Amino acid sequence: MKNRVNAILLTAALSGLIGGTTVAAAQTAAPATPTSVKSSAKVLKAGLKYAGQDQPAKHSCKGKNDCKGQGGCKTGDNGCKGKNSCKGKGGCATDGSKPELFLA
Amino acid sequence: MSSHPTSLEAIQREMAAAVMRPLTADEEMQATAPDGRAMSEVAASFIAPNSRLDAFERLEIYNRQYWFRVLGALAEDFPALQAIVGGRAFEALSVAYLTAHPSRSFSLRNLGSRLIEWLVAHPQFAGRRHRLAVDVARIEWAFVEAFDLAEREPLTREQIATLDGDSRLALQAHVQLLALEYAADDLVLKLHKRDKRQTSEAGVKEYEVHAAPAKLPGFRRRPTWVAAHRVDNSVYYRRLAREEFLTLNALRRGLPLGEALSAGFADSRMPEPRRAGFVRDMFSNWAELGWVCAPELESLIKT
Repeated sequence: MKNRVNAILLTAALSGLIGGTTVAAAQTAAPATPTSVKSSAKVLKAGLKYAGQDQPAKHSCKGKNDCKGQGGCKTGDNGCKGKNSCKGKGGCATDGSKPELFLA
Repeated sequence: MSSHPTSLEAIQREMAAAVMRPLTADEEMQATAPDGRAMSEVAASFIAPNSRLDAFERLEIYNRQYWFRVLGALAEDFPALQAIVGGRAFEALSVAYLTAHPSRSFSLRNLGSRLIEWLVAHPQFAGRRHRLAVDVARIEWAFVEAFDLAEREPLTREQIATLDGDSRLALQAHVQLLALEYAADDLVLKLHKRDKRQTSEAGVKEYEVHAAPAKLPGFRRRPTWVAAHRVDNSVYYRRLAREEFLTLNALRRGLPLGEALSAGFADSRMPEPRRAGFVRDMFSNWAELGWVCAPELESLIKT
């Protein structure tokens, strides 16, 4: 009995996978459909959108850069530069690589 | 007597230690080094003065900038946590956390990677809503992970045609599964919307150290399962049924498909006649969202 139930669930899982993959493939393949329309069906199933990601890049140095105009700050002024360039743009480390450590 | 670091590595280590040392309550560099030497002496051992600033003052610039930067970065990644504990408590929490786990990566993206485990072990920093704060931190860290973790090719129809109950599947790395004690996902969404609105109105949001803790409605513990994930470069979160979470979690742990389904329905109260349709729908949704992919070959090799 248990085996039969498991077989039913397995069949359901595989048919669901086939169905969903077919839908996704059809959306991707439809050449005349605008991207926004193509992804809208997917977005409906995605859930709720995280609202915080459209914020401007980190700017906590603003107003706190006491070194400005005092000298000795060349490296400090630019220390933030380039370190957050991907933030807010999405999908920028999709190779799954791990960052290098700079300290032992 | 002043001791001068002799190698470049020694200078770098001394500089890093000084820069990453917490500031005083007045946001100044501490006057004494951990070994008891005066910081003015430490600074003078590897930094020259200029016409306007002595060595201590020049080093202090970097010390302050490091802390202003990392505190701001952490607050930006955990705005809901900050709202729940309040600005002042969040700063104390951040300083204590970043002292225990200073920045070790080239990217500030990784700054909060150990905050959850640290917060679990240090409830005194989260106030009376410690467990809720942990849930909120978990959701916010999941957003960071979902935002940029890898995405691989989803399963193809040809690959699906070869599957059986013994097949192992993988989930996209950006799909983050959360089992929460509270239904904190809606709270986080509301707090993020509020945070975003304040940012828009103010143009640029300053780090809110004086903000009082947000007034929250009464929260009862209610097991809640959530997936944070990415679609078209945007992060979403989606409530999951218990059975859906358990099945996904079993697949992520590498269980074969048949066993994952059994794990998903262990102790389930869902009537058996409903289960097949439920399973078909959830697998269909996952496939449509591209969540399911083939496991990497290395993960299949038994060691």
